[in-house]
Amino acid sequence: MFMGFMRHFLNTYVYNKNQKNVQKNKKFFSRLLCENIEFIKREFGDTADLSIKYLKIKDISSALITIGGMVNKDTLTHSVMKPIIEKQDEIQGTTGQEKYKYIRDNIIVSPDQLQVSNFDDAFNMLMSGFALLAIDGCDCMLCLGVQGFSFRSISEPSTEIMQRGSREGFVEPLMINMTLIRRRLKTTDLRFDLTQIGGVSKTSVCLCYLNSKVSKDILKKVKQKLSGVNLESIMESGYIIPYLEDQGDFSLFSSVGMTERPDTVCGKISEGRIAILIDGTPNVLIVPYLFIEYFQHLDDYSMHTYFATFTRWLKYLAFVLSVLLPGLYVGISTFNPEILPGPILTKIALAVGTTPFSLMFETILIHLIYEIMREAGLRIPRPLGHAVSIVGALVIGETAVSSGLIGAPTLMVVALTAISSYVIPNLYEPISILKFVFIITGGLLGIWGIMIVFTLVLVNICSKNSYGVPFTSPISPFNIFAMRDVLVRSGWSFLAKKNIRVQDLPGSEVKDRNINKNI
Amino acid sequence: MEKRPCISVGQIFSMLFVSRMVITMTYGTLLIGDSDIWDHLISAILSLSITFLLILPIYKLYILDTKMNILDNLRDLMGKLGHFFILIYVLYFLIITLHTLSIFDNFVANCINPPISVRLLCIFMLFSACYGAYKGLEALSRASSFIFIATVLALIFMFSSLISSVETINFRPLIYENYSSVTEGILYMISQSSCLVALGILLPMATGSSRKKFAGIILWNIGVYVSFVLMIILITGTMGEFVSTQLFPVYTATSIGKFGAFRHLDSLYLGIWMAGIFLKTSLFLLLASEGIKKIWGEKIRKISILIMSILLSICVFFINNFSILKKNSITVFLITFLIFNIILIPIILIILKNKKISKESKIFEK
Repeated sequence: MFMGFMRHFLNTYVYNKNQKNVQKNKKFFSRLLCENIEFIKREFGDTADLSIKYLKIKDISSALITIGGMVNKDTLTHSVMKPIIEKQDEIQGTTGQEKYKYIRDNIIVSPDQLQVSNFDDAFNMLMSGFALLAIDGCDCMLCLGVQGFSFRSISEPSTEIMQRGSREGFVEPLMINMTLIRRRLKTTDLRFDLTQIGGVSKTSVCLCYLNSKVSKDILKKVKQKLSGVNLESIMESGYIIPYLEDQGDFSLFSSVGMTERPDTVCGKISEGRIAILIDGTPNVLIVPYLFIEYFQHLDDYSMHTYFATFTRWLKYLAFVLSVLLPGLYVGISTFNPEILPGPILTKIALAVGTTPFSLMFETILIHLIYEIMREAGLRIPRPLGHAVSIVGALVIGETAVSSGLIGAPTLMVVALTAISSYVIPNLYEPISILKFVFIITGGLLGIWGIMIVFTLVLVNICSKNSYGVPFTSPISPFNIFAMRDVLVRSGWSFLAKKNIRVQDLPGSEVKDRNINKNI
Repeated sequence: MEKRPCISVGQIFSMLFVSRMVITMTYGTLLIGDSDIWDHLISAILSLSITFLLILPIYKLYILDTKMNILDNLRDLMGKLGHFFILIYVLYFLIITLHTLSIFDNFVANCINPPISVRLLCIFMLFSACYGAYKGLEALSRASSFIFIATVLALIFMFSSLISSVETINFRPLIYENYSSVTEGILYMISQSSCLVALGILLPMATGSSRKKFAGIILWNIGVYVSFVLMIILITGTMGEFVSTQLFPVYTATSIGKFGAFRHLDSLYLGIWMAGIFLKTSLFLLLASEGIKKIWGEKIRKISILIMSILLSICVFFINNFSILKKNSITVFLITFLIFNIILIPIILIILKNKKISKESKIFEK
């Protein structure tokens, strides 16, 4: 399986794409084994994991080159070494080249074989867990698929828990992730386009889409943007997000989605989106990604429509609360207390009167403490996590209030804000920044300032485009048909009536969209 | 090639509706003086008809060439002289922005009296609007859809809350004393129709058929004046004679309105009004910058937004309480400017355009 992937990779990327330009710069193998081995050793230096096992095949020197820890030794022994040694008397041919051909076609039982003729390709394969068989007198090497590195098993992603549905999540090896998608979409329309980015890491990146659904215009743009990634190494999908966003378009909200669930990816690519799988990370990127998608969860589609609609509205409310509540609390209590009902105003006034800090400072302080605790909870070893929770609950929950440093209403507002922000975890980053902005604005300019900043943020969101599709579509530009999955989650009978592709949404500037008046 | 913004007819009219409503919502004695608000019911109905007449030249010009707005036509048909007229439009948009800011300043200072500097707030608003203008028409029109929905919902909510407080005894016979209030009302309403000039520039920018746009114009106008009429009926019915003592009666009415458990709807009023003011200021700054773009190009347009904002913020600081902008004289000034921009210039452009078309057709025939 892995071999097939590598062959495809080499054919599509290494051979076809680069053949014209890069071939000149590539260093090809020599016919002398010692020269080739010398070059490999020189390139790798004194690295401890490079393993070179010399073999004698009917008086001709040969070598089996591997990277330690990346190959399965049992497979290597049984599929490669044992047949060569046991059947070396049967090997025909006099020259190294002839022997190489005989071994390749008749001796080695491994089904995953690929021939390489230059060092670049050989190194690529070697570092992907292949074994290289080099024979003296032959100017090519045989790559043998004997990978055996260990990886995390497939499990439910902790960041995207679902009540119902699959418990499978993406893992680190790219090939496994591709299989997880293929298993769910058994159609020949599904395409995986492989490429490689990162000057040093040479990370494999795979574009996944449905050929009949995807916009060729968007696909071209994605490929262009990926080719513009000039990083040395890509360790995580987050590294390339800035390259996939529109340049010079500052916004707190990203127009590149991220998921760890194969079922989510399948749903997204069915609507014409493109998934970007990156080797070594379970986080798959999705483009184009619209603002409304932050509030859509796969669970919505397995629940009853009325409950899914209810949870959808809860998410909208939670977003508004998490962004605006602390700012409004500070702004209204400081500048427009007359808006508040009497009993609430009395409670706040009492709390503010007994605490030493201003309401704005107090709210910022607790939010900062909360963010520090959250960060600590994320980074410290799990056994200590409980200790952080206890300290946090005691220090903030009990001591701060009872000692009169912090007012109880402020603490409640912060707690409500924090809980609300967990409802839409994908939006945590913008929410955490925006709430501070609104607290400061509320504290300095009151409800007036908050409304101005709110409209400012609204304009910022509205100005964004995700690959030519308005970020705020289908709310603005408005599309009544697409609203079936925005304000309400309609039943499947209605949702299945028409599959709206992302490029067909109103306001889209994508060239090859289907201009349909109903959409 | 210049990239045309992709905005729908609905977005254009929602933007214009919100821009018009923010002025309507601050309607009161501060802006109309001693004029009788109740008599303005007739003014509103008459103004609706007058507005339709005022739109005709702009619409005719649009029909002659659906791809060119007034500014394009000025540049195309008048050459260097056209640049001068474009600058007059730019000046008009800046005056309207300043006028909007003056309303904002007066409202904040007189109604809320916040413990923060009103001027500072005004400048903060201006520079925020500068960002909106910088982001362009597409961003503003998309944002306007959200603000429009919020405005309509809030208006329905506020009107519903006021219905229960309406007392029919407060409704006096119309034109009880003389016609002067009706005339003043018409003058006031027409003077605040700066959106008509905006319409002349925005109409060709929208995607959609001329029929759709025509329907949009009718609906928008009717919507604006129906809201006006409802507002007059509700505030008069709720407050009676007290209307004439309030600087901003709509705001006062919302602060006393109740809807079940919901009270203090003035906070709702403040929310949508602020968003609307932001939108209007951004839109008019953007339109002013569009004029600059027609003369000096896109790069200068972006810089000009900042320069215009700085200039306006200087005006905000130095014009004491905007006294010049809230007197009756401003009404006459604004109407004169408006007539020049939506009647005189478009009629000249129509004549020139017709001449050009006939000349071109003659050449084609030859």
